[in-house]
Amino acid sequence: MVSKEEQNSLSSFQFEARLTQASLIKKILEAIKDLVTDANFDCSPEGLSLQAMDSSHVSLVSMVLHAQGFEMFRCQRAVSLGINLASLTKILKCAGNDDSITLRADEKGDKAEFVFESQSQDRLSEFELKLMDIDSEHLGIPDTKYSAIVEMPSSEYRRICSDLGVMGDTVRISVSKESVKFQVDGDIGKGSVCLHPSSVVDKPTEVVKISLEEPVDMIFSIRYLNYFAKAAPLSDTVTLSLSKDFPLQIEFKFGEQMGYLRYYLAPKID
Amino acid sequence: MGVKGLWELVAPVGRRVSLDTVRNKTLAVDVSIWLTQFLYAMRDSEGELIRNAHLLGILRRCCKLIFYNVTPIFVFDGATPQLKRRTLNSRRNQRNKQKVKLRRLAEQIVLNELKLKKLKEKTQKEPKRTENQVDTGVNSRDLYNQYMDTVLKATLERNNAETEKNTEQLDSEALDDNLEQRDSITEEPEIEAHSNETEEDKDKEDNLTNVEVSNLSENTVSFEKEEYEVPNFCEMSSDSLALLPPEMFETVVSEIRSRERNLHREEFIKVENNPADFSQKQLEGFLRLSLTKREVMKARATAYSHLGHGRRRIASDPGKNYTLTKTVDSVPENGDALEPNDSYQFPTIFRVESSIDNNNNKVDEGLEWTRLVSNTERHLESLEKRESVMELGKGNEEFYEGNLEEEDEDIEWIACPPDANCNFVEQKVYSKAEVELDVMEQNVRDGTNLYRDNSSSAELGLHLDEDNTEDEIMTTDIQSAIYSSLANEQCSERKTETCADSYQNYSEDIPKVLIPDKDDNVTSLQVGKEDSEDMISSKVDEEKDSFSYFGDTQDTYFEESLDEEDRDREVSRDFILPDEKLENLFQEFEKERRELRQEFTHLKSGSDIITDEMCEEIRELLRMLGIPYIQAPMEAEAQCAYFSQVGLVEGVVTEDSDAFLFGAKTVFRNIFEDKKYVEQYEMEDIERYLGLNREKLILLSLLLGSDYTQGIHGVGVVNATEIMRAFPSFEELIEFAHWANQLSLKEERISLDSEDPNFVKNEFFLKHRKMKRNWVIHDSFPNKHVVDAYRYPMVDTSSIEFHCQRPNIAQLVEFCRAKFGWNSDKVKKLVIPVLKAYDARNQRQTCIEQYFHPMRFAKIKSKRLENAVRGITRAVDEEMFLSQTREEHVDDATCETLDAVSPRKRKKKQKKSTKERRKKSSSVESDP
Repeated sequence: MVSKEEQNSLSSFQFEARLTQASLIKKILEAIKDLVTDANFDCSPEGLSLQAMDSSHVSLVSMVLHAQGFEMFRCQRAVSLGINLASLTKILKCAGNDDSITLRADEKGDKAEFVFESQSQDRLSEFELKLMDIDSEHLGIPDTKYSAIVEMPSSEYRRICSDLGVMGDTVRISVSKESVKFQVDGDIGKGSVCLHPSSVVDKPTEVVKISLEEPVDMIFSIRYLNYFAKAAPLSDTVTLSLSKDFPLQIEFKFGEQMGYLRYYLAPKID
Repeated sequence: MGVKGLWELVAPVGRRVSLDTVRNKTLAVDVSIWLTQFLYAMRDSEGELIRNAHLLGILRRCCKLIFYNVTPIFVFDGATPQLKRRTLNSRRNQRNKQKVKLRRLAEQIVLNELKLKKLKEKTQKEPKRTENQVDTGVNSRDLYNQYMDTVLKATLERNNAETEKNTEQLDSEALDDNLEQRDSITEEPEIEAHSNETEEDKDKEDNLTNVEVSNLSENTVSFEKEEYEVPNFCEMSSDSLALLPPEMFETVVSEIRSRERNLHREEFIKVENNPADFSQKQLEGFLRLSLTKREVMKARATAYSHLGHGRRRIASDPGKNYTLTKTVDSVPENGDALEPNDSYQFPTIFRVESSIDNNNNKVDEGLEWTRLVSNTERHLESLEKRESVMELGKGNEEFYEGNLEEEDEDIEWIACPPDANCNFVEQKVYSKAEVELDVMEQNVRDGTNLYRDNSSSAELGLHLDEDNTEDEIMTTDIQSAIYSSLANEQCSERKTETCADSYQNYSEDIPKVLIPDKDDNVTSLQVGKEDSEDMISSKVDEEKDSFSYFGDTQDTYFEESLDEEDRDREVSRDFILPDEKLENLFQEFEKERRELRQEFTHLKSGSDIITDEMCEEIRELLRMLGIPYIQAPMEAEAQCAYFSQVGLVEGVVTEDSDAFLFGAKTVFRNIFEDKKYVEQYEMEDIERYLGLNREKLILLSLLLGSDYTQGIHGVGVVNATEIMRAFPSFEELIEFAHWANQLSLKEERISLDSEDPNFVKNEFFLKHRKMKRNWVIHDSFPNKHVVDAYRYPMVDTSSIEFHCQRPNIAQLVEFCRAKFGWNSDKVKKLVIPVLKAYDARNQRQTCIEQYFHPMRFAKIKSKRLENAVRGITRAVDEEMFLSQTREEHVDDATCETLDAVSPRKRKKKQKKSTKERRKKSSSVESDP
């Protein structure tokens, strides 16, 4: 069955990939669609990747799905699929969470095909999405040794962001050896949340870890941190990496070998 | 502006950045370029400059800058360097050329519009036709009906009494009986006069626009399309007039003027053959005229008081003011004048004749001669009148002299009305050609019309009572137009010719009639023009001269026109066009109209210049906005570049590539173009990747041409870069010039040996030996002065830091109210966010591009240029070359990496702040 399909596609499709779980794609989309409206999905033999800035160019989304994370991945030549994320969301709504999803694109690159197959293989739905020409720029993201790296449960991250979000629009993140502290100074008052590294490691997913080169104290827009919190379902833990005068990097890993979703947020300056 | 083609050359090292990149930076801004842009771009749909466009533009842009927390430093141009004069001169010449073009276009537009109008009338008329007779009589009758309609419409709006009368006429016309027609036709001059009125109003307006456009006066209003229903002047007090906005005021006044002139003319028709009554009327007219004049003056003074005592600057000409004190030549209307007059005999006879002509459709020379005789009789009669009128003329002298004074002040301005008159003679003539009365008849009527026109306008017509033929009137008109240049005459001639072209079908004869005698007039008047010192007397003389002159030529002229008449008949038979054809014509004209309009708008946008006054207003605005500005001693560009060089600013905002030559380090382009990305150019990049330092850029400008030098004709960026590679210094450029200028008849034997120190040069010689024939090298090349002018520009070298202040909202509200007529809400809506941004300066959001650098957006396409660049510089960034990328795609299409999908990131030069991090620049995608 698979081999037959592969043969078919060899002739007509430039790019073809299948994921066993449609939910992953759905979650990724949920995590970025509020930040970015249109994006290029770059398909290459290494995998599927996406890089996009939000409209005000304050934050950057970088997503990578490695080829080995797919059930099947074939890409003869690099293609760029310009996709309107709202449209893609609509199509993905038609896929069940446990459906397998096949993505195809042909030589011309003017449309992408989505095939959803239910687990029991008794339901097959096919969708075609018109692609668009998106004039986006790729930014070179330098490899950086961050001064402070904080790992925490993503649910915790989400809670802090939503809690502090009601207080003001700017959060000060200060990382020291002992703790990471989120402070807000808003119109109605002040608030802060302080997390200490966990001493007991019961559940690996609920641990707070801090690795520090030097203490960092920076301010960021809470609005964006809240956008990033939408990626929490993708991963149990989130890693915040900070360096002075450099964008904050927030990473959600999809699991071993699968890939990651990273956000970069430019700091505010006093 | 700037060095030709330099932007193109440096584009590959430019970076597309978002506006956020300039956040919190201090930028030097060359204002003069902005102003030029505003004057060019800020136009309404008619191509007119938006009022205070420069201020509006500056305000908007400043708000944007402050909003982005930019500290702009505005630099104004100082004196013009000697070297730049040539460029400026050529620009001025171009502008002058444009002016001429503009005027021509304006004329075409007017013409086109008239054609359209006529055509519309025609197409509307078509269904009305009941008989298909190809008969001038019928045709002209139809057109009369048409005119009646127009007149009816026009008069309905204006005067009820008139309307009644016309309706009567219309009714009688509608009976369509030959006999009755004959009766009613006696009244046709009246109708004719009315139709002329409407025609003339239109003409007048068009001409006003025309002339104003060519004068380039500011705040011109297009009268063409605006239709105001103007109440009678007597109903309007000067106070209420003064309340009108200035543009509308002028329109209204001109409306009143033309209307009253027409009414006045009607009065004269009644008393035409009665010298005593006639002069009585004229006296009355004059008295009323002066009354009206005073009223209008008062109103005008009030209306313009806020603009500075009626004195206004002509925007395009810094050295000139105009004071518009001349009033309309109008007389309040007189209800009595509408009563029928018994003494109106001549036209009746005349009319009977002409109707015979029309009905029988044949030329009767005898009748024509009778007419001539009656004309001559009239001449004799009016000669008697003349003396009394001359007295009146003396009475008018005061007024007349007043006019003259103004004429001295601003000749062009005053010249408008006569010029306009001049134009309508023709237009009237040809519009009547459509009515297909025979030429004679029209001309005579034209003559009388204009004659009345002139006399009522109390200008020169007072001296001309004896002149009943149209030639004489033409003469007077041209005499009155004597102040306007001969070019005007030519224009109108050309216009007539254009008419002829487009109306070949039926108006062929008119230019022939008009042009010859106009030429005569022009020549005869040139004499008078020279005597401008003693204008009044010379004019009187001229009139006498021309009178006798025409006495001589009259016979021949009339003979001529008889021939014309014959032809006119023939032509008019062919005139009735099928509907289709009309439709086609209509569309054609519509199309032409659109095209003309477009071109006009386009041309017009390049025709204004920046004045000191504008700069002063801008400075005032900048003070209110709290933005620092400086007056450069010489070129603003050089000053900006200096600031950039010494680090007082972090970038220069300009569209002028000269900035690099003056030593600017960072240049931002397209900051305010929403459609484009902001482009950022670093001198460091240009040097590193294109191998062009400031010195070389200066030398490059010698080759390419800039504001300071013409450059070598035939040398573009590719050749220039190649030359730079082979001859990288000024001294070597001399060598190059020497080589390029010598005639290499004998084939030089150049051996290419890569070991040879002269290898590069020899290679260049070999490759370009054929090319140099096409190059035009000026004697002065290479000019050391140009190099020095770029190298050592005169700049203000003070090193005081610049600081923004908080915009003063109260002052801004007041300023915007005065300049743009905005209410305070509108101002606040614009300024409050800006103020907020200003207040939030201490805590600002950075943007991601400040940390992660974008990819390059352009690649070097020319293979030769690529080689030249490679030769010039050692550190080559492969990313810049198109060929490189192509090859790669071919070579390793199969093993393409994620990196290759995305344009590869550049290994950019490091910025101080983030130096270390940048070193290992690699992208996220390539990570695992």
